[in-house]
This record gives sequence, structure tokens and C-alpha cells, in this order.
Amino acid sequence: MRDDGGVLICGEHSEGKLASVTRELIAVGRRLADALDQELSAVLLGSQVDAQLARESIYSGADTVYVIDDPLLSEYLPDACVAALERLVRDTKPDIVLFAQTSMGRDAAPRLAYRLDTGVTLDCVELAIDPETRLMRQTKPVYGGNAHAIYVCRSKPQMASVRPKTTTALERDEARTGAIIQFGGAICTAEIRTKLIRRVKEEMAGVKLEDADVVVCGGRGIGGPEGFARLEELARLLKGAVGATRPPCEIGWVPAHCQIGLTGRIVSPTLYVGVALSGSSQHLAGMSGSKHIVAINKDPDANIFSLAHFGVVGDYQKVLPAFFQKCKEDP
Amino acid sequence: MNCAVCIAQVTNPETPAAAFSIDLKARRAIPAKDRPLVINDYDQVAVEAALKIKEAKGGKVTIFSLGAPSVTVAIKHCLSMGADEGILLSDERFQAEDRALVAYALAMAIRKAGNVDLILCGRQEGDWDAGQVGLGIAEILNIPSVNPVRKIEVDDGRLVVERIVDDGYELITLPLPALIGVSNEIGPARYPTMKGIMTAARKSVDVWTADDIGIAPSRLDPSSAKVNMLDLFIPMRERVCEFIEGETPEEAGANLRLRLRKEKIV
Amino acid sequence: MLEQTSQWYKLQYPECFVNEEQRMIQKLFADFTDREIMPVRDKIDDDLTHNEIITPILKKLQVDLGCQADMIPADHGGNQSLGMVAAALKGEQISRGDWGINLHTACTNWGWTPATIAYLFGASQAVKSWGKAVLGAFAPRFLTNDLRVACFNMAESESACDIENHLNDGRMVHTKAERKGDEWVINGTKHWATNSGIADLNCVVCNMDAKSGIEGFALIYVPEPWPGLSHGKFEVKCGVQADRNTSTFFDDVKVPKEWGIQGPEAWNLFLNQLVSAVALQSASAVGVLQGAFDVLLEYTGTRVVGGKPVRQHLSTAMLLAEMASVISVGRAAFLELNHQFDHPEIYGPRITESALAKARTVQTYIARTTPELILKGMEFMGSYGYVRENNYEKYYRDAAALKLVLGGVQLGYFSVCRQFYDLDFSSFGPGKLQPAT
Repeated sequence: MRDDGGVLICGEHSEGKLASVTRELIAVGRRLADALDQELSAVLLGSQVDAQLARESIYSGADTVYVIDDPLLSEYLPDACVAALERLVRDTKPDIVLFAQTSMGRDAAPRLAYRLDTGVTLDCVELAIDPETRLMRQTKPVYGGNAHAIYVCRSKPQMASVRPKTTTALERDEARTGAIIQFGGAICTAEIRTKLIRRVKEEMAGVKLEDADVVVCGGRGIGGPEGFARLEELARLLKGAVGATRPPCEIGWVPAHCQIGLTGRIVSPTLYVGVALSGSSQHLAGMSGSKHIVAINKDPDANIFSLAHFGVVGDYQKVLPAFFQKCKEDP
Repeated sequence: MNCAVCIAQVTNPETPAAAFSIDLKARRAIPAKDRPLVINDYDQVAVEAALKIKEAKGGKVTIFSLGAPSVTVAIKHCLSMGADEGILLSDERFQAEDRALVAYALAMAIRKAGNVDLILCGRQEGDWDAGQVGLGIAEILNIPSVNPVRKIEVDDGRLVVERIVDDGYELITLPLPALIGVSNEIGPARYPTMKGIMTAARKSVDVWTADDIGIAPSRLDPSSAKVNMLDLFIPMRERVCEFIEGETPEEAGANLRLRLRKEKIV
Repeated sequence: MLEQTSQWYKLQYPECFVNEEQRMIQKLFADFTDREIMPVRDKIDDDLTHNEIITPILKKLQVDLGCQADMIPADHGGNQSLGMVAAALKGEQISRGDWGINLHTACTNWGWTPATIAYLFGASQAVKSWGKAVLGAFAPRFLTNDLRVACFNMAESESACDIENHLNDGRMVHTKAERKGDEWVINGTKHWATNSGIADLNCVVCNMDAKSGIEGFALIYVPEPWPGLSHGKFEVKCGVQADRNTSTFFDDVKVPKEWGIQGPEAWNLFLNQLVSAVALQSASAVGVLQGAFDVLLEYTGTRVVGGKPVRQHLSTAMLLAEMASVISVGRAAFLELNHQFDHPEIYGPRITESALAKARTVQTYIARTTPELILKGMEFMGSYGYVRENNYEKYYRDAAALKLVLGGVQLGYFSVCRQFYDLDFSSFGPGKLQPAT
């Protein structure tokens, strides 16, 4: 089919649109492919995949797009998806295979790696080609984000998943051209052991956390659900969304999907306001990409202040209402 | 309905960032003073999930862990919560940073123990955050797996689970034997009970070496690892926070707004 | 947080006194205290109804962790956790958070102790049968998922420490028990007991004939609610809110004869109550001091006065070191004491004068020194040491009560002297107080 080598990224899409993480991933793959002087391919899996998606992938920077179209791929089923990817990788033998660290990527990448008997590093914040060894250096946060580790993989393909919002997508260029290849081979239903019964959306009404321009986030120091109502008020005023660290979610003051952090949502709003939270590394992992970080906390030594641009040391119950009031009367 | 739970002892994730330090030579974190090692949070809820299944369906809960002999304390803690037996995989040649080796060792140990219907792991480990050991064990043993999960129901040789996704959950069914990665949303891990402690104290934890579980010495050689760590470091944080003051907290809050307005942030 | 790995920890809780099981028990209560009590310790004493903070914690401790079944024998479904070292380690950890909560849980065990010790170790068939009857009647309700409370109802308002003064041979117990047919009939008033007014089961200290002393001395179990048994209002104290203290009125309270025993065997069980409580209170006192020390150490490290952190000033350093020194010595002492009490086969029975004297040397030292040091420490915290939410002043209030329990430190000192000479501090020597008839 084509030459061995190159970078393959696994793309995601929903409701006829290419996922923003996929465009970011293509940007990463583009950089790596250029450094290796090799090709960048993307693979899109789905059922009745819209041809436009493949074209979008090329406009975003891919050279080739493989489309694997099968009714069993309409939803993410690991058995179906990983089997299809395995066949593609064994056939095209890329040097590097990348996923986004999404719900799908963090699941498919390890499975694929073990089937290919190769190594994988998840949740990378930086990928680069070592000029001497020509291997991919994979940097990822460890110890909840307190440290970074750099890995290399000596087997092929080298596999990694990339943390969302750590890269900017390339400019979309409709002049770009590339090959779109239907990669066939039916998926055997007998291979499917894990079955999806249904997907249930539990999103809060209003702005989605990952898309919000403003995120107001509360921690254990908020003290109870009533305090979070205050944060809701502010978020509404600023047209943003409310998030939380893990403790308020665990205690039940807010729903679990508000959790921002290493094992929660990753956000990078223009404005992040952290209220009564200490700023553990696990939480910072979820918001460190925010453009402007403001923190309000009673404790002057709270870790959040090491990351914040602006801070107020004080009781949020006094500081926040005054802040809110001033925002209201002085828009 | 026999469950195997894989647990790991990690440095305390609640260690404040200021107290966190690493041993550059050994390439691992140094437990901070007054912050002893703990059982990985997610592994504790995996134990909790196993105990709930045992209460509903009967059977045996076996704890597996790979580490130094001191990890026995962690296994005993799980026994005092209500688990039935514990197996420690301990060998000087085990390199815990080689996550694929850890997955392999746990898989081989579970295979050797035999008679396991369900394997439960925490969704992710608090030290290396590799997030692949559970899925790796499932691949090695060629059993279906789901991660991360917040609810498990057992029904006649099959599982129905809720897998957490970005904007909600997926309701998934799969046959046993299987592996499930458990997340904290499943509910808090129980405290040991007095009775549980007294029972656990009388039990002994089996210790298996790499030879006992059939791992070839060549596989234990660090050079056979596919992924190598080149470096471990603490990233420098150079931010200097501008603190907004005020005579009163209220005034500081108002001044904050004014400052942000000045920067055209709000 | 209990430090598991430091050298300090290994030295402070050495292997010779603390085995693996005891260490696991200690860690359980250290974790429980850190997670459940510490975050709300500044709110406990203001929880006047107990509904907000105290009872939820007690439910977790007594029901979820199973502590309310500690002193119930295994063959009756309980934990049969009879070891003194384990109980001492538990008391130390919980008192590190709140002494009142510790009193509640310790006294539920204390209420059960006479029946269980009688059943397991009683010398005569009669006393064993009594234990068995009491356990048979009341143990099952302590094994449910409901919070259950026991009370060792000993003290009386007119003669509290006169009762705890064992030299009085029980002649100052004015709660009168009579045998009428197949029943005991109890009349009198009790006051002070921890868990009074909320207990499901009382072990009541009575005397059939005060003048007869030990012969008439009786221990009778009375459940609640029960006809003829009523209470006064709860005492409003200088803190220790989680400990309920009130009067218990007995108006012709009738219970089956199987639930009571009288005479020398009852008296020996009573002596065991006293000496084991003294030993365990030694540990709780160390816990209170440790809790205060931890707050003081941290605060004086962050607060800057005179250009440097407070604890860099010599005066503060001297006090911190003195606190640490009393903790260190007190800990070693209570571990040794409770270890000896766990091994009567080596060290002899606990209910001897010398064993009581030894227990009192330990308890009085810690109970008297702790409140003094904590008050001194408040100076180094300034006003912050006096404010509830900084978590220090509660230890000052908890510590004040340490000196007062079990007859008080003075009674303790008298007991110590009896190890060396025949000091008579009973109420009945020549020229001493005569009891009311």
C-alpha cells in the first residue's frame, strides 16, 4: 500500500464534526512527521463516516486519511475499534501511533499497545523527536502532576496519547491535498465481547466546562452546596461554568462531572477563578492551561497561589460577594 | 463469585506540592516527612467494590500487590476491611516503573492463583499515573475489560457496568471473567472494623517471587523493557502571583475586580 | 497524622509493647480521628443537641467500625477486644481529636466490662451465670446497626470520689438495692456517669446495706427505658460536650435477680473497673496533650512575631520541648502499664494495691501536667489560642477535666502513697467523716 514508517494519529468525531482534540493531535503529528521527514496519516473510524471529515483532517494537516467504516464502529466499542486499528497498524507499520487522552484514547491506546507488544505512554504534555536517536521523547506528568517524566519506547510503533489543550491546532488550509483511503475488512461480531447498551448524557445545563471562556471553581473550603450556589451566580454573571475539585464532588456538594483535574475535566478558559481550593497538583493538572488564573483563599500558602496570576488572601465568604457586586455594578 | 483486587502502595497524593521532592538518582519520589505511603485511592475503592460484590454474591476476595515486603501492611489493611487473602509479589528484580512488567507479573500471579471470576483495579495509579496496568492485565489474560467504572452489577455470569465518559456514562455489559477499572464515584472505601483487624492480624500474606509466577529472568532485565524513563524532574514554576490587598476582605474583593478590569480580563 | 515510618514513631511505640494487631488498631483510630474528628473538632462542643456532628461521628465509630461490640465476648457475637494496650492506643488517638467522644466509646466498653469479665474469667459459677444472663439479655441489641450505649453508673452527687475511694469498701454507696422475691429493687440517685441519660444499658453500683461494706456491695444491670428509671437534665460543662452527664433517678426500679450480683465478687469486679479506667485514662491524657502540641507546633511555626517564627523564640522552644518530653515519657509509661495489665500471668492481678498505685503514678503525672502545659501554650498562641476555630482552646477545656475524673488526682496521690506505707484516707478512720445513716 504505502511505505512503512510515518506517524499515524487516531482521530475522533461526533455529530459530523471533527473533534477539536483531533485537530490538536494532527498538529502534534505534523510536527513529529516533519522532524522525521515522514508522512502523517490519520485514521477515522465510524459508521457511514462523512467524507467531509476526512477532508477536514487533511485541511488540518494530515497527508493521508484512512477511513474504517463499519456498522460496529458507530459507537466506541473497544473490541471492534482496537481490532480494526490493529489490522491497520500491522498493515501500514507506522513508526509512531498517537491518540488524544480522551475517554476513547486512554482506553484504546493501552489495549492496542499490548496487542502490538509495544510500549505506550499516556497523557503526554510534550512529544518531540530526539535529533540523535530519532526516537520520540514523551513527557508526561507523574505523581499527580508534581513531577514530569520523560520516556522513550524502543519497540515499534512508539505509542502515546496527548493531553487535550496542550497544543494549538494548525491553521485550516483548504488548499491542502492528500489521499483518502477506505481501509476495509469486516469486523467479526464474534470478537465483540463488551457490548454498549446505551450512552447517557448527564451534562449540566448551560455552558459546557471545556468550552467555557470563564470557569469558576470551588474546593473543599466552600463548605457546602450553599456556597456553590454563590459560585453559580458569579459564573452566570460572567457567562461561564462552574467546576470543582475532587472533594466537593466526592462529598456530593456538586455532581461528579464538575470535577476538574487529572481524573476529571481538563479546561483552559480565558479566566479561571479558584475559590477556597488549595490547588493540589491533581487539580492543577486540569486547569494549568488557563490563560488568566485568579485565586481566593484564606491560606496564603495555598499551592494555587504558585500558579495564579492574581490572588486575594481572605475568607471567600467576604471576598466573593464584594467581587460579584463590583462585577455587577461595573460591567 | 471470586474477585482479585490489585492494589499498590504509593506516595501520599495529598502531599502538599511544597513538600514534594524526588530522588534524582533512584528516579522516584521521596515520601515527605510525616507523609507515610498510602494505598492508592482508586485501589481502595476497588477493594470496596469487591467487598460489596462479596456481600451480594458470596465468594472470595484475594488481594494482589507488587512491591517490597513492607507492602504487606497495605495488604493486611485490605484484609481488615474484609478481604479474605493476600498475595505479595516481591522480588528485588521487579522494577515498578516498568508498568508493562507490573501488568505482566500481576497477570501471571492471578493466573497462577486461578479460579478468579472478576479482577478489579483502580482506574489509575497515584504515582506513575500510567493508566495502563489494568487494561494490560486484561489484554495479557485475554479477557474483556472496562475502565473507568462507577457502578457494577453482577447478573448470572455477566456484568452490567456504568463507564464514566466526559459528559455522562455508558451502560455496558460484558461476560465474566473480566477486568474492571474502578473509579472513586463508586463510593467511599470502608474503614476496617475491629473484628476485621483481629481476623486479619491472624492471617499471613503469601509472598511470591518472579520465579514462583514463572517470569523468565530475561524479562526482568531492565534492558528488556520496551519503555525506558530517561528523566524525572520537578518542573519549575516561575509564576509570581500579584496579591490584591484591601483594608477588609470585602475591599480586597472589590479591588480584585478593578484590577481585572484594568487588565481587560473581565 | 500518625507517622508510620519515622524513627520517632518506631521509638515511641516500640515492638516490645505494640504488636501487629495493636498497630493496625492504632492506625485505624488515627485515621478515623484525622478524617472524621479533626475537620470538625472546633464545632463539636457547640453541637448542643448532638444531632449535627456528634451523633453521626459516634454512629460511624460505634456501629460502622463495630466498637460498641468491643467488650462483648466473641461467642455472643462481639469483638471480645479485651486487650488493654489496644484500648489504650484507641483512647490516645481519639482523645487527640476529642476527649468527649473518647469518653463515650470507652464508657460503653466500661459498662459492659463487669458482665464480660465475670462471664469469661469469673471464679465462681454464680458470677459466671450472672455474666451469661446479662449478655444473653442485652448483647444482641448491641450487635445491630443502631447506635447503642452502655453506662457504668457509679458516681453519686454527694459521694462521688468517696465511692471511687476503694478504702471505703463501698460504704459510701447510697443507692440502695434490696432483694424482694425474684427481683432486685433499686432506690436512689446517681449523678455524673458518662453516657447517663442516653444509655441503653446501665451497670448500676449499689449497696444492699451501706454499713456492711463489701458484703452488701452490688452490681446490677438495668436497661433503658425501664419503669421507675428517669433522668435529670444534662450538665452544661466547660466543654466535653460529647460526654453526656446527668442524674439517674431510681424509684422502686425492679429487675430480675439474674441481672445483679453482690458481695466480694462484685467488689473485685468493681476494683477492676477502677484500675483499668485509670490505666486507660493515662493514655487518653497523652492523646489530649499530643493534639494540643500538634496545633501549637504548627501555629508557632507560621506565626511571625519579633521578626521570626514564634517557635524560634527560646521561651516557646522550651515549652514545646517540655510538652514533647511529657508526651514521650507519658507514652512510655502508659504503654508499659497497660502492657503489664495485659499480662497478669507475669505481673500478677490488676486489683492489688500496688497495681493500683502503679497505675495512679502514671495517670496522675500526665493528668496533672497536661492542663498546665496546655494553658502555658496558649500564651504563645496569643488571642489565636483563645479562639475556637484555631483548634487550640478546646484542648485547654478537655485537659481541665482530666484532673477531675476517677476521684481526681488527689485521690490518685493517696493511692500512690499506699504503695509505700499504710496511709489511711478512707472516710471511716478515727475522727473521720461518719456516713449518713
